[in-house]
Amino acid sequence: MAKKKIKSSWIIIGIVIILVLWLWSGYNTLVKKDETVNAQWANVETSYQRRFDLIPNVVNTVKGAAQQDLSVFSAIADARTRYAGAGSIDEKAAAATQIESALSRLLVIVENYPTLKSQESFLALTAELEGTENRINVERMRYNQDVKDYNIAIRVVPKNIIAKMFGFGAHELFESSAGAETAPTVDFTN
Amino acid sequence: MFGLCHFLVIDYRNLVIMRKLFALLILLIIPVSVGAYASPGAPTGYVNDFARVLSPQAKTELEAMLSSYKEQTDNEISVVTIQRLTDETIESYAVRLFEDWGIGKHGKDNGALFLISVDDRAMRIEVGYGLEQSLTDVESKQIVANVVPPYFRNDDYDEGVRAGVVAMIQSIGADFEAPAAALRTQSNENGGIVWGNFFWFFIFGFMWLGSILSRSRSWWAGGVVGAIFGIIVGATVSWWWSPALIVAGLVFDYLVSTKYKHIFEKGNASAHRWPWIFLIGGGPNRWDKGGRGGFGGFGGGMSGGGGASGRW
Repeated sequence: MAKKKIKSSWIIIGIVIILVLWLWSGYNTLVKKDETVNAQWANVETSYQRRFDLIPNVVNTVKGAAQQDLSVFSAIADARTRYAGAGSIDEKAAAATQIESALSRLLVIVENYPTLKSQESFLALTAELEGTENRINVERMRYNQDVKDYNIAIRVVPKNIIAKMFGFGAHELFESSAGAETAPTVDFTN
Repeated sequence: MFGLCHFLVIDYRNLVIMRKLFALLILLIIPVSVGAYASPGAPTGYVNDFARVLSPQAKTELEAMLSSYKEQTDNEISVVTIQRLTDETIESYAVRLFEDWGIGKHGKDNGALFLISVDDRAMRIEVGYGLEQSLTDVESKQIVANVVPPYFRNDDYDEGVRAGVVAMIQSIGADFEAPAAALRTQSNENGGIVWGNFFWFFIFGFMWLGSILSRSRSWWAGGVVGAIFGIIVGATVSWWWSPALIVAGLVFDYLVSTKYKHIFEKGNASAHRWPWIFLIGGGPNRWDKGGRGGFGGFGGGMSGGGGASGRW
């Protein structure tokens, strides 16, 4: 009788240990995934910064060739200030999308300046701009993958209990903007 | 008669449920790949001519050049030709292939990929994070826009790829002398030996564990052992090892506890098969993660979209 009791209490201790270990590892995995998402967002911001560093060069080169103030320039400047003032990820993403559409408009305008297009310095700038845009795409794709991974982790059955217990909320996916997919239209009236 | 039919129906249903469970299990175990990217396969060297546009001697020469370049500078440059892209841009294919193969050293990210999609007449130089400063976007653009296309337009892939690779190496700028096609790939047996050791370690570990667990007469100790391993593996690899190993530990303990006498004491011939079965059945040991291909494999480097694309 006593022996049986001892045995069953061992079983209970075993179960409790397993539960604690499971909670421990589960919590740690969620923290790791959460931090991966944050780190990847930092990468996205780094690639945005790279773009911001490049934009003045592009704008000045085009300005020099165009010899006039185009509305695109102010649109780009507006988006930049909006990005600088943006607090949340959503706001930053929106501002970045604005810059994207302004930039693609600028590149279409450039098509009208053949001398500019053949300039060595401008070719180098476009190569850098292309590389930067591609880096942004890659980092955003990876950000979305990490967010998906994290969002799944906090919603699937065993982990969702831990996520609820410790208040892990879902991260926002970076939706591709509606404007980025359609070709920009050029308006020379301004 | 009816009773028999009834029994058969239930049995059939059980079978279906079992199948569904099995399919679910497989889905859970195999990580699902994301997106349209399909790996062209494992790399067989620095030059991977999947589209078969390079001549054998050009391939050998390039391979020798790139492997001795790697020896001298530690930078890993890979040349890949594919027939065509499937609903994906060359940029996204390049970055995923780069990530898939891990070109360059892990942490140093000193790799570069020269990808050519023949039918699309598109190519890309994808540069690892660590080489972005030395092989810049502008230099890459210069190579894919001016250096290579003249050769490719004449279908001279051998010379085009060679010129591209030489230009890449020059741009990276480390002092390197291209060798006469000597210095073939060094044999990299190290990976194999290390994994071989682990293999035997696991075998004996399993037998030792089995003998202890079977004598302990507790059915849950195996689960605890599995849980401990599960936490360790789960912390490093992925969480679902933990419950899987707990179950595996319980099953293992159950099997050795009940079969121990039968297996070990009656001197049954199948005795020593038990640990093997667990190894084959998808235990925590992924031998295939060791070395890839005969050239030693790439080092696990990453790229982040640096480089340039061009057409011809």
